[in-house]
Amino acid sequence: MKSLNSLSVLMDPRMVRILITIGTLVMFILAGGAPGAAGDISG
Amino acid sequence: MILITGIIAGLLALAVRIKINKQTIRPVHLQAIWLVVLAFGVQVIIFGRLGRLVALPDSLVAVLFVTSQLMLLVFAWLNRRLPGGWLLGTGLLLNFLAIILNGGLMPISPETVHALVPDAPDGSWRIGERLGRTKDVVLPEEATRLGILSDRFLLPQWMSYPVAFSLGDVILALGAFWLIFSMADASQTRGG
Repeated sequence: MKSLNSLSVLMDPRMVRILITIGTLVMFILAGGAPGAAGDISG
Repeated sequence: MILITGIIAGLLALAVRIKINKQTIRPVHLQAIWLVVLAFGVQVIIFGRLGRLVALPDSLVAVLFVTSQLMLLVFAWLNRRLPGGWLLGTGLLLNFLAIILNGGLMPISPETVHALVPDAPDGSWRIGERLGRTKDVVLPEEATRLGILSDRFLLPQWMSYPVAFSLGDVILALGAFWLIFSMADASQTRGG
């Protein structure tokens, strides 16, 4: 029952828009930023 | 990871803000999200496993990278009126200028690379070439245009996370923080 409640919260259109906003921001700054991390250098 | 810090900090600050002020979260209406998805997808291909498997030439990587940055600039322009939008656009533009003026990749000086990976084996990087799988190209300071915008900042050693980042990266992270923090709906409070 609790998991169904959690699911209904995630299906809420407002929550979906919030998640889309945050997801878009994550993609935007990962693609727009250009940091050089040591872990990506050796390969 | 340094870029994600702005988002994580923004989410934490937003959570505290809506808790203290008993507000709700107001979704932001972003325009042309598909541009970001497309730009991100292009970069996943060129900087991810697929790009390594196919061994894309660095010249093609640079062209695709700049193209993806242009898509992001259009997105930033369309969303410039959002809170923090101008910071996101400015950070992106600063990175873009450094990239476009230095051949299509973000410049990083040999001194910064030495500080970043002091024990890198000989031949693991060369001046004038792309730095590993990063978006960076190693260029001497004197050969770098707008060097102030290059990947020249390092986190303190005690943080144990060796990464070089630019002024544009910092401004991008601040913009993400501001946009998320502003998602608290000041016009509505829960329970009066």
